[in-house]
Amino acid sequence: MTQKVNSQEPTSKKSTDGAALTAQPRIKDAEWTWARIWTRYRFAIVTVINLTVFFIIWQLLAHFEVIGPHLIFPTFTDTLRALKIGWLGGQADDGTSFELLRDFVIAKNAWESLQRYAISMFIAIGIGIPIGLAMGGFKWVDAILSPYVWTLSSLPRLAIYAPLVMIMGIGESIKYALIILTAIFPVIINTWAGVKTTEQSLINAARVFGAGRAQIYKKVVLPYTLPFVVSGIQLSLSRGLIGVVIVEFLTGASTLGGLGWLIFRSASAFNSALTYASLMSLAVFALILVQGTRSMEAKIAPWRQVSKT
Amino acid sequence: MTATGQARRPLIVADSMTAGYELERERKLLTALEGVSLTVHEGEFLVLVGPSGCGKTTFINVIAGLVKPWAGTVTFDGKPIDGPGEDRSMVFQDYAIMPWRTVEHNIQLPFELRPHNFSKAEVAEKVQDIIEDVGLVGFEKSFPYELSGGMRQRVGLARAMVTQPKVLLADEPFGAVDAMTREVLQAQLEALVMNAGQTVVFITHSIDEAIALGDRIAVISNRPGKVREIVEVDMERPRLAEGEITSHPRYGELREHLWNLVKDEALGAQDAHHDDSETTGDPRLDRLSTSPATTMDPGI
Repeated sequence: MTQKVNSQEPTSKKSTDGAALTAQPRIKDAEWTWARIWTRYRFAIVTVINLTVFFIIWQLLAHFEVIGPHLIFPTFTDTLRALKIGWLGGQADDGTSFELLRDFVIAKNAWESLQRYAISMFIAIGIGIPIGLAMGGFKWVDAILSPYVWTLSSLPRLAIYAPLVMIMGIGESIKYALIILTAIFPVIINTWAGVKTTEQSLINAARVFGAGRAQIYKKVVLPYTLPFVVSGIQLSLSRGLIGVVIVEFLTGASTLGGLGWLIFRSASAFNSALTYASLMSLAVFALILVQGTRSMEAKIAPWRQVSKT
Repeated sequence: MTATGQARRPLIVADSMTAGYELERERKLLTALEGVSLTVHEGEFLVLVGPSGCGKTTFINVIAGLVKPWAGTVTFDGKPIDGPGEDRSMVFQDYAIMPWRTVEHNIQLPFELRPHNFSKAEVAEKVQDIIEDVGLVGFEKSFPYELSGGMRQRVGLARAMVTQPKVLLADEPFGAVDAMTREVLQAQLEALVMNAGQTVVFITHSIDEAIALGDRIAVISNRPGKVREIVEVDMERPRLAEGEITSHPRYGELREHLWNLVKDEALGAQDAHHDDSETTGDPRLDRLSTSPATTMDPGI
């Protein structure tokens, strides 16, 4: 019986030329069997088991100090406790090695980083797109900016830190400068490449049907470039995240330096639980950001996804 | 669709025209056509055949106003061609329809690009009519990537015909379409053009296609291209609406004659063939893969 129901299960595969196909028939009032639950939720089930096992192994390794003492490698439960205090408050009760772990310490630092990140990304994208468009559209802009863009984008950005410190000193502005420099180039280069690779035949078609220079940009080049810009933004977002952590580590602070600062600061204070709690917070944020933006291009430009395969 | 003997008014006149294009990567100019004189008469279906790279596309691009001749003159209705105009539209070999536009929005494009006096409703009606003519009903809201090659070229054909231009230019429009779809599209094109009385300049590689569609067939020689001979196709229309055109008594003769002309050129073209692959001429771009920044940016 279960076998039969299972075999009639409609495939959930999406058809690429959906327009030509009619909807697949669905089974009504199918029995709620274990087999059905498994086929539908198997990935969720496997993930839950997988993570549970992971955390149990972590807990065991830390509890029996296989990797090192608790100062170096915290237990999962201590990390959870640090997460709870760091995000939701509730004083650390034993007060032994938890000097940094104050109420809301992760939340406050995360907010600090988020502001810094958001402002920098806003500026990087806001400057990057026009620069890329101008470089793609005007030969002389390309010629003038090209050496700087390509040198800086090829250069490991950390190396510019020293000269930047000499000019700007160690303050808030250098943080923004370095995050923006870390993040801006994928947007510029992708936008430029989109403009430059716009198919000549599409431009010719627009010209034949009466488009002038401005209309060619509006009706052909910009729509063609849009998915390039989106994937550039996507790359820039993850670059910027790296930039934030590095910058906060480099510049340091006495109390509130952001999430990156908290990770390094707590590690050097051997408050391993807080280090791991901060790291987990960052990981979750990065995961949401990257996965959230991954489908952006597919949504904005479905034709590119198909032509790639 | 002029019968032979009827008074024919010259519409497009090329007089000892030389034209070519620049190979950007190699930074050199390539002469595609040299001293070509050719007249396209009003209402006729002129087919150009010849080996690849012989300058057929350049010729059609000159008429379209996309390319300026280097020497000689090309006139349309007595006036020298200076850029594209609404009396000429074009069907492209690689369709050249906008991938981000739906079928109906692609077909509507000519009305967006040129000023006109039609109301929105009239434009919508014209678009709908041509969609019916080319057999795209039901696909109005589809995107090109959801369509087969044949369907995409129907969109290209509809876009070119929706404004009822005087001249239809077609650059190997059915070259990338499978053989069965190709025959259907040829018949559709013949019907559309007969209906509207258009003048057509049509490029093809295929002798069969040339005989099926052309009133006259101009055989172009190897690059730099010259008109080698013009062959009249004295077969009545419609040729493709019903029955096999290949069983027509004149068909075999014409085919053999054309083949003999084209054969020499095709053999000669083998060593003159050049790489058609598109390059941007920019070494930085040519190194890029599909997602540029990932390959070059070291990150931090």
